[in-house]
Amino acid sequence: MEETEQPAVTVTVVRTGGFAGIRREWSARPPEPERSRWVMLIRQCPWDDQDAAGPAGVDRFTWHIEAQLGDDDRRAEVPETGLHGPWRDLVAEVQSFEQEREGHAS
Amino acid sequence: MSFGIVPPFLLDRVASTDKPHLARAARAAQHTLLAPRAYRPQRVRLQLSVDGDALVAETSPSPDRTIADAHNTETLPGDTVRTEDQAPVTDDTANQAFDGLGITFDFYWDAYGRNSIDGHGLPLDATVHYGQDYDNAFWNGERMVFGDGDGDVFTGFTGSITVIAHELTHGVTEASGGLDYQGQSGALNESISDVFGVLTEQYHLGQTADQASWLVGAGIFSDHVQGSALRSLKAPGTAYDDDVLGKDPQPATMAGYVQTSDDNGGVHINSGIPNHAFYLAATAIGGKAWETAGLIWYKTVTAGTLVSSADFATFAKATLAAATAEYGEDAKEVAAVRAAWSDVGVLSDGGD
Repeated sequence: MEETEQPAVTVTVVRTGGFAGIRREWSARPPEPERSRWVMLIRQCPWDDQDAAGPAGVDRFTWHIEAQLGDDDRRAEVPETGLHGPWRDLVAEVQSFEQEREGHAS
Repeated sequence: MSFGIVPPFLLDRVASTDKPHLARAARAAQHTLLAPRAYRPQRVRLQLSVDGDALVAETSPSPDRTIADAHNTETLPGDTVRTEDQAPVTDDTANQAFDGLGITFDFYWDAYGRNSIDGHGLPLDATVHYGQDYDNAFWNGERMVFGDGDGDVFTGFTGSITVIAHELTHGVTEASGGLDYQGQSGALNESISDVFGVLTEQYHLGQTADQASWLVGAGIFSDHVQGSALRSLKAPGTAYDDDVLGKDPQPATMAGYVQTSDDNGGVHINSGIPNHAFYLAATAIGGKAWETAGLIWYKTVTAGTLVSSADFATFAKATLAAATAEYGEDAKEVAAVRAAWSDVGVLSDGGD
């Protein structure tokens, strides 16, 4: 049986706020062999059920997460206190993807 | 069990009296008896000296600090590792947090006669080693929380008195009525924390306005980062310029005001404008900044008249009113504050 090729996947994570107020950005464009795992990670996140609560306390982070699965574009703004479960897994994957890419580049 | 200055048996007697001329007192006593009263012992420092033949005893408030360790989890408060009466422990981070809280407590008491965050001896609680590679320090409304940093950009936060005093000052602002954490009022909230953060350090080092660095967070970046600190009140926008972090985005004047939805409307960015106004006022007045410009800002924040949605202009006018009340209409301090807000573009030359 022929496997269906997964659409191009791009995930961008932006962290704003925090005591330092420094904006940080990480992104990942995984190659084809890894895409099905990334699609699962993205689909596990509660994109339509975002925590409406603001950051719990001053100087906390806000995470802006955007995922593109082919033509399907999803965005979410997640306060630091809501970054757990699948959101945290996705952010950690994007950060380690970029870290590994930088490791290979250097 | 509850404690109060008037013993409960006396309140009972007054509350139950039927004498008409004591009706008001009876209602007050009944109300007082119904109100919950928690007993909270407060620490004091006792200083004894001899003046001629007299033994002089002086007391002043003392901090009540508790440092906990989250062991790199995000569970608060963590395990208590040091309390007020304990000697330094083996963990330098816990000791730095303990010392920083003590210095900030002393600053607020010596400079403004304020007994802790709430003015009533609130215990100072902090948690260190929060999270994994956690790049942040924050005040959660109850305690100060410090991550260890990721090692690549930040090396930790407890080594900087300005960071500790910044977080504690968020508590002071909140206890004084608060400033909404969005847009200009949020930037004022951040600026007030930066202002009293640097003033705590200047007080600790005994520096005058012209001797101070006016930097927030000096020493918390790793060696890989091209930058001296997080923010500069003296020259907003110049604290760092790094390949990874980019350039310090703070404006010094309203001409550079940044409109953004990020960071609660740029609360850590546009705070550069009131930060610089404070620097200009403090250096124009000269001397020890916490005694003059700092006193004006402190009175403005704690007067109880500042609305929580205050914008820059509202706050600026409130500092002018506080300066006038403290020093008089024609004082150089008032002129310095007026010129500072004018120079950053918040008020016109006339103070409007």
